[in-house]
Amino acid sequence: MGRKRLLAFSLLFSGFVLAPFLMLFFSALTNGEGSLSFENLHVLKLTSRQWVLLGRSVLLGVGASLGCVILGAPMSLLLNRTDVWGRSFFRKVYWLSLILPPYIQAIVWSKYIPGGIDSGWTGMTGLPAAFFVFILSFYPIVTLLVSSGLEAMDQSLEETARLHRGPWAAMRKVTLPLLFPHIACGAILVFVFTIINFEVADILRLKVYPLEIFIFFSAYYDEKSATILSLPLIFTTLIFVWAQMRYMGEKSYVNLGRSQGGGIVYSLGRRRYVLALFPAVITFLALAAPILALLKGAGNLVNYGNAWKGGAGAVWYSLWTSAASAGGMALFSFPVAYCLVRMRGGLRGVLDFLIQTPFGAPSIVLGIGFITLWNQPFFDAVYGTSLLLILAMIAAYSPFVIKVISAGIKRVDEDLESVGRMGAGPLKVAARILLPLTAPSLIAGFAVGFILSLSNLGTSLLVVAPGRSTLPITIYNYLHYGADETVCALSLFLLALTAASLALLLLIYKYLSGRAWR
Amino acid sequence: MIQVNQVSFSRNKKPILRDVSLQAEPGQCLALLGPSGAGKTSLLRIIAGLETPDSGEVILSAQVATKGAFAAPPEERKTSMIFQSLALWPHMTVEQHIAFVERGDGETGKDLLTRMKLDGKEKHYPDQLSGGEKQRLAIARALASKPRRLLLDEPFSNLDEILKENLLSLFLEQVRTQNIASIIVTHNVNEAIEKADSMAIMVSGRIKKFWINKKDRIITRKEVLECFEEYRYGK
Amino acid sequence: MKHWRILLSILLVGVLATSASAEEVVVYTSVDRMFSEPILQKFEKDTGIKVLAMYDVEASKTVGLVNRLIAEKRRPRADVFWNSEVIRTIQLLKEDVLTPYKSVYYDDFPATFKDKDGYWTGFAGRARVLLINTTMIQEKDLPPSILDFTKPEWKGKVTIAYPLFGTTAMHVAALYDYIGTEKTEAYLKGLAANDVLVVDGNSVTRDLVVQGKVPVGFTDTDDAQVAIDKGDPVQMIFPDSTGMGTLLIPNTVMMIKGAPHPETGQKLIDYLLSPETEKALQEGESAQIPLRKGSSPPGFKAMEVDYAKVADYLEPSAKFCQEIFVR
Repeated sequence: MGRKRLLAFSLLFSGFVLAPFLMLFFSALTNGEGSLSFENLHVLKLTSRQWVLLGRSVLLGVGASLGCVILGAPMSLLLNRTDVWGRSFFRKVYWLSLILPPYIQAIVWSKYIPGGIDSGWTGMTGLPAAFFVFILSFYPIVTLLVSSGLEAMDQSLEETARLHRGPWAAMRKVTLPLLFPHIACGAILVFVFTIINFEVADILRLKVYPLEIFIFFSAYYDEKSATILSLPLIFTTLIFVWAQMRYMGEKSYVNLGRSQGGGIVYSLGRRRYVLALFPAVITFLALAAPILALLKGAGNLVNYGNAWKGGAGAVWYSLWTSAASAGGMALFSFPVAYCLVRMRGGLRGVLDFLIQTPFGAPSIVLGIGFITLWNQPFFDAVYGTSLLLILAMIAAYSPFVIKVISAGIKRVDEDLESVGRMGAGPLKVAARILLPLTAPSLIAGFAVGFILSLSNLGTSLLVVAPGRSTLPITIYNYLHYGADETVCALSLFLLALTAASLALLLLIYKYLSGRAWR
Repeated sequence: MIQVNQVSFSRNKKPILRDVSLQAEPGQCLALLGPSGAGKTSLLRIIAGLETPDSGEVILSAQVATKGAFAAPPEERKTSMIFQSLALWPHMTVEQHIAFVERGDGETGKDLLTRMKLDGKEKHYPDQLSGGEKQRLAIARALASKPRRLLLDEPFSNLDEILKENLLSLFLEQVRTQNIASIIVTHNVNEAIEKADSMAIMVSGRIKKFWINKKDRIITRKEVLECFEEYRYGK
Repeated sequence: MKHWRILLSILLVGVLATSASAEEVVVYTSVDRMFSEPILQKFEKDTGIKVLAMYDVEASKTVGLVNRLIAEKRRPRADVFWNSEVIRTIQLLKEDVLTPYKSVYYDDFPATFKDKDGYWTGFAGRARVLLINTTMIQEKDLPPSILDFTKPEWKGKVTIAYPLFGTTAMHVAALYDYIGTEKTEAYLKGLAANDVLVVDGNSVTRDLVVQGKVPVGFTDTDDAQVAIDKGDPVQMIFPDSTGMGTLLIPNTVMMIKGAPHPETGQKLIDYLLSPETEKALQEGESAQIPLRKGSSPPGFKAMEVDYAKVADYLEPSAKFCQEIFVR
């Protein structure tokens, strides 16, 4: 496969990712007779009420990302750069809360934790409650990125600073500015995930902009207006993503290198016990409290048995479709990521731009777009089968996976491939040199895709095959029925299985990245 | 001056330094030679206070800097170090580098940049400097805090001969005029013999030989290489 | 390249294996899975026809599947839609998604509950009721009409689901039809001004009442019944028993135009409209009200509405509610 063919494949793939949206926008721009008409664009003249909703959504996104930075960055510094009590324990567990989808976090805190949030007229409601849920759900993204930044950082930069100034000055003037790209990237990711999220706002009764899009779909069946209305959301997200891209340039924000095991560790003295409260409280709120509440809500073992009877099918279905989706993402993202990293010139820029566009699209838009695109005679073997769900997940989350894999490819010296090319064809070089060297990033990409697919609700509801049900859909069904024990037990199954799958991936990752030649 | 007494150090249960002692006088330059992995960098880091040894002591200007569990923080040791990577901060301009380490008067900073031929480059970022300029900035930053000690970890190894010669002279001149005790880690035997005031050879975490140049006698290239001979055959 | 081909063929075989089946019927249903699944399973057992069901989720009650049906209009995938209410059914008819089918049981049902051309047939119904927390208030404390909830003594004490979706949307549209646009909109404004708690579903209003966070909530009989069966301290009230009456919401079942399996689809519709199914729904947990001629009348006064006319009010009603509740 020459580079031209590789680029062609990548453009084709970005076409696959974008086609559902393009279909919808194209049909939104045609009138009844099928000729082009810009009449529908008038909905872009937002009413003052819609501006308020959009403003609230942006506020929610900005607030959540700020909160995640305020919580996540110090958490990372504390766990990586100090001898805070229990650091190795907290480092092992804090990120586990990422496997709790935000809607589960919202359900648990508003329903199963007494005195939690959104309890009518007591406690937090509205925006503060949503901030609380999103920050607890997403702060590990910032912590993970900052930690990877700390690991990638040349140790001597901080040490030189320490030779001349105290820990605070070194931290403030050298460590933090160097981490800024990672912090910014984490903030953007949180912003994107927050602003398009509909489920949490729905549970917490917060009126946000995606609700408006949903109303046009579901109260008026006006797909055209709904599609056009999603443009402001997509643009808002793109502005942030572009700003971040410009700032970061060639810097990669996911570090997949082996940890040097070093780095400065500041002694906190006696404060190491007091400061341990910080990770302890956060981990408790984000991870332990929800799990305890779910355990309590699930009650005795009989309930688990009943939940398993009602939900086992959905559990396995979710697991294998998510695994297949994540596998597809890793497979297809690899050549695209390769193009993005190794190629120069205009087409590369186009590709980079195309692949990031779907970031801000609400899941319902993707779902409807997918039906419009794939419900054709030509795709009959796919539509109505589980493959459609898998393809939809691949389209929805590949942009994120591509980012992860790109980081892995960037770390491989291009000369290694050039040397290989002197004795072998491009495919062999890819298989024998590039693939082994980037395997850890493929595993990491797989994990990201797997977690995101497993918790998807908005899109999968629209594309899942008849007679099938994913675990999130099943959980919502029981939630409506008021079967709290089953909801809790199924949520725990979801968590346990995700955790087990991730543990397995982590083992493979460690094996691959710990081999002697690395 | 720098005095290292019977320092032992291990990392992950692997011994790095065993019972190392040496000293460097103010205004003089000690060359530290040895094969890769001999523990030279670790020794510098212990002197700078970036690592704490398992046993032994480090005495700087007649004050105990490291002994037992006690280790004075790096910023209080009046010791500068130039890393192999130079460790220039990518987000700071030339003058910001100087300002970060400078204590008290800003007068010296300007003067220093002139001496290091970096005047006119104050607003440049490391990325915008040439190879030689980067090295000079690293030296300027190391001197800007008016250190009593200067540690160099193979800082000039990637440079061409002429540039290296110039920088080394510049550096030695500063050491002598400002009465700084310095240790330079190098692989270049000839250079060490020619420029250093004393020399230590380190093999497998031990000081194999320690000469005080000129005062004892002139060290020969043959003597130095003999020390490595043993190592080469895997002793 | 060889590996790729092998992988691809494995995938395709897997796909084809799942799609090939002798006799099957695809049904989309917005009826709660807990209530509809047993009935569909019994049909499968009795007839040997494989039932592929799509259940809706609460977050997008009834409208998720309706959207899917409209999006799939050009190439339908479902044979039958079993809707838990009637208004979206009429909407689907307007969107040209349905095809007429008069079941053998078509004539069993009164004209109010079916389409005259047989596009849809209504059966077992639910009702729009109030649920009260009996530790907080008693039935006698309630006003005679829901229209009184705009009075100051009810400020902050009533909860309702978004009047844009589901049966709540239908309820509001029915008010437009029954008491007129002007009065309804004044009422809605009054509710908003009276701090009515707007939540995302009828099960949520029920839960809020059960938890005692609000004394009164609008909900449907089946949702209310769940709480009653659990022994929660609640009571179901049929409102306006002396005035306009309680809104009755029939289940509706309909054939999708261009259905891939019309024969099995007809069989399923017949089965759903049979006396046995209606009886099962009546005796089941959802305690539905039988609608076929000759059934014992419901124990409350039913609101007299023309469902087709109610459907016409859906859009203006939604527009108004969007303006006052979604901000």
